[in-house]
Amino acid sequence: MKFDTIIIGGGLSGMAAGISLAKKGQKCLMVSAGQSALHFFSGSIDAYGCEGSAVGSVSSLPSCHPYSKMGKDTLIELTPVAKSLLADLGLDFVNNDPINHYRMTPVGLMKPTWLTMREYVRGSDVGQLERWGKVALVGIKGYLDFNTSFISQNLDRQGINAVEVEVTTPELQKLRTNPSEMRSTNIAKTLVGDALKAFAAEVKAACPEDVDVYLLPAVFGIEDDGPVKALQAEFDKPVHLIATMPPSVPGIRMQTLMRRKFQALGGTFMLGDAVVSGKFEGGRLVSVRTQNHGDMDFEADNFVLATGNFMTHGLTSDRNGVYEAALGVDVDYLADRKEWTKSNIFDDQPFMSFGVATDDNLHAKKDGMVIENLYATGSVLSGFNGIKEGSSTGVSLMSGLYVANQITKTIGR
Amino acid sequence: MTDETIKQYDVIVIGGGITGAGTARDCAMRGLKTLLVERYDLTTGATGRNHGLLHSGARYAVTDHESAEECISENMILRSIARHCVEETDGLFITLPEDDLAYQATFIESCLRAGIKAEAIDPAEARILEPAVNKDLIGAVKVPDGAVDPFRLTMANVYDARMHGADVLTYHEVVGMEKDGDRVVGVKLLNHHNHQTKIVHAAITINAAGIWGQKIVQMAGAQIGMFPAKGALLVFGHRVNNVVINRCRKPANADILVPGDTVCVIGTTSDRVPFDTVDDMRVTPEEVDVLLREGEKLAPCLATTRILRAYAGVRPLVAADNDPSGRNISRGIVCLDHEERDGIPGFITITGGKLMTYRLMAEWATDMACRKLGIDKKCATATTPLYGSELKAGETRGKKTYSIGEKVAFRAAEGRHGTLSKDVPKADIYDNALVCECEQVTVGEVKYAIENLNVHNMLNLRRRTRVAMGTCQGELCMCRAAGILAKSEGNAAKAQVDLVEFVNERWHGMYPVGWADTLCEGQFTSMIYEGLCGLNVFDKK
Repeated sequence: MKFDTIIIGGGLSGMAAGISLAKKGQKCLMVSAGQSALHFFSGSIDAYGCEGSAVGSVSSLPSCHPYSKMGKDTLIELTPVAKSLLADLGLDFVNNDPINHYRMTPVGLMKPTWLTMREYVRGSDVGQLERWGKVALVGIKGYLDFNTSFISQNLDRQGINAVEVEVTTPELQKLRTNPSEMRSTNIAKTLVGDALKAFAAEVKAACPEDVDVYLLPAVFGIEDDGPVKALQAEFDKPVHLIATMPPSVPGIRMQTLMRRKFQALGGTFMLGDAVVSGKFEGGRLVSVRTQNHGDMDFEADNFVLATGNFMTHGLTSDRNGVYEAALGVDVDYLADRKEWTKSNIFDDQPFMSFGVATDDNLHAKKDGMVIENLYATGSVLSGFNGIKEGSSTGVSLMSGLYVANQITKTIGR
Repeated sequence: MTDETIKQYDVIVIGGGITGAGTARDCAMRGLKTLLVERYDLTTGATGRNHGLLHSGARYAVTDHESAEECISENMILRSIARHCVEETDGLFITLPEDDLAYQATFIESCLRAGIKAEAIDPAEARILEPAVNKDLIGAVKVPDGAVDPFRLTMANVYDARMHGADVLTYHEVVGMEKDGDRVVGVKLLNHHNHQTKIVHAAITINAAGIWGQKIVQMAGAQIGMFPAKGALLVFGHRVNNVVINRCRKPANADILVPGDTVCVIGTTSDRVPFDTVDDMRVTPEEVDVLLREGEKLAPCLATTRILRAYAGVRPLVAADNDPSGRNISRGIVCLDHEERDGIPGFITITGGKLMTYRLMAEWATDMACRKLGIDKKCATATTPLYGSELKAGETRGKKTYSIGEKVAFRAAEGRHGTLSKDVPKADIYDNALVCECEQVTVGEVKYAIENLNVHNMLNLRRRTRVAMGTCQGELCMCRAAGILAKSEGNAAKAQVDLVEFVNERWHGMYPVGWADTLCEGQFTSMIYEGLCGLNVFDKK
């Protein structure tokens, strides 16, 4: 089978590339194992976790960093492209460009970020939260992945005294009969339509009447944001959501919307499959094979490798080395296993920066040779610690768009 | 935990490992007013850092007849008094092509002489009995080895001691000995929670502090020559074997693979280490390599089995008196009467020995204390089941079977707390919500542990319930359990800091085996607790 571009990996980065290319009329195939890092989404896209301007930080990054390779000017060019891609999906993100704003984490702490879903708690600074007045922090009885004690404690540190309430409804009670069913995705599937209205009524009944703002866990709207809007319509005061521990309902929604968009644009999406090998010839990748399709060769002019890092099995390792899982392309890592990790998990762990070796245009390398039609994008890239920097989602989105542009340019030539 | 209502105790036992817990139980059962003190948590030392092997004694049969006899005797006792802490798995001593098969006859003869039922079986039968065993084996001997959960066994002894009137203070460190002339009359305690000190008096003080007991002896004004011997072990992600696998040769590195609960453990190495390292044992890459190389010979599938974590403990080896070089090391039980030995009345040290012989050690120490107090009461710990292990009339300990639809979490709690699992709240559907999927720990069990099992933090909770000890090493259950702790203690600020420390405690066992799935889990953990939550701001560097 022959495609214009084959995208390996269906997370944020692969989707950004795939949707962009499909929009240009390319015949695309996307091979996705299923879950991606979006299942752990915070509700925000972090460009670079610093105070002030994220893009302003790019010039101080080392040359191996994906942002440095793409270049500051290109990143600035791609910024409106990224925003319109999200808006096209029906995702309503707000920003405070060119300055970072703050998202509230699942434990109530504030972290700098770039784009945040409109329904989420956010702040231009800590002061914005103070203007709320009387705050109700609403938990769901038996739902353990929304830690109201910690949130309340950290709101308190910011001078906000929240009233903690816990609610349930008969529909949620039914979920409880299986001990492991009280998870975000199941709640999201339950809290729609009349069940959602009943839930809102319970929340109002449980909270003091003079509440100015309601804070709820982000467990609404797994298919689209209809339930979020319906929930907000039930209240005459603002309702803001706080990210929960995984799985992330808004993240799954985002993944679903992107997949639908890709398919609506004519993209072929193979779910639950994985690329297991590639045929390289004369500095080019000719075709790939997948787990589910045996000896069928999938050919393409260009390939995008967007399989993520260790966590999503884009990278694997054993006692002797670190490997790229799908195609066996070159990986930048430290040869001495002892140097991969440090004893404090919160230190800058060297293994976090391991990843696929690329040239400055994000072409992957194999046996030291640049593969001119294979691009690496997102968390599979080497040279940055996305968790430490607060740049994982930003690198994924921007490098996905960057690679799509590179491919479009080669076609133009 | 307990209010100080008695100013004067008969006995203070120092050390919340298995020896101290067993000694406190024995003392309390003989009617002595007993206080158990532990500087950190129960099982923090060597007790929580070994194989969890219920030795049959076979390992020592050839080289140490006395230890072998003690082991088989205590093995049989633990099967009846601590049945909820023991798994009757049996064990195999296998001979591989590179080993001398002639050793097997010597081995069996020595076992039988020590009273250990050792039976040579056909290698083909061994392969059926334990499918994970190295298929190349040329000989096999079946022995009554088993598995014992040291966390559970220690907690059961502490609980039992409390039920017999003992007081227990964890996070209370002995910082000085109170003396009246030469006599030890009590201890000075530092409370690590509120940083206050207090003095408690007792007629007898028993030092059961393991390797840390050397310092206690020094505080009392005497000397003892102890030699820390580090033993490193690896925990695998699932239970590859159901029968303990040993090598049939002279004891060496990494030649025992023990199944326990949902995992299995290979170990151990043995190296003398400096005294100043005993509080922070880390496993080196070289030790990991040795453990894997040797472990794969016992069960080749270990080569492709996920390693959950690495850990190391310190054996308290004691030099014979008048031998400061430590060449003449005893691995047996050492019970010192410091009145006789050093002219310090009121002070006893119980050390050496092993997890397996803790009850016998406790008996010796308690016998000595009773003699000094003029109390004539016989030891009953060999025949009285621990709380949680009482047999109902006609009940036998059969193999556990789980059928689909049964409440697996209830069975898991029963496995962990024995008959005491009746006290785990389960009437309410919220109490039945799962905190930890890997180990099937419910909200009810967490609440039970917080209320009844000396739990102040996440680490305590893990040791009492197995929360975060399974394949995911606590990815999501850590935060859930921390939320319940925060609510029950009404202190979210402390619970957050505690959670961050706990995330790092899990990593300490993971980074020495930081490749494959462990690296993947480590990245996932960082992503959640640092990337998503931002909790790294509470890390105390």
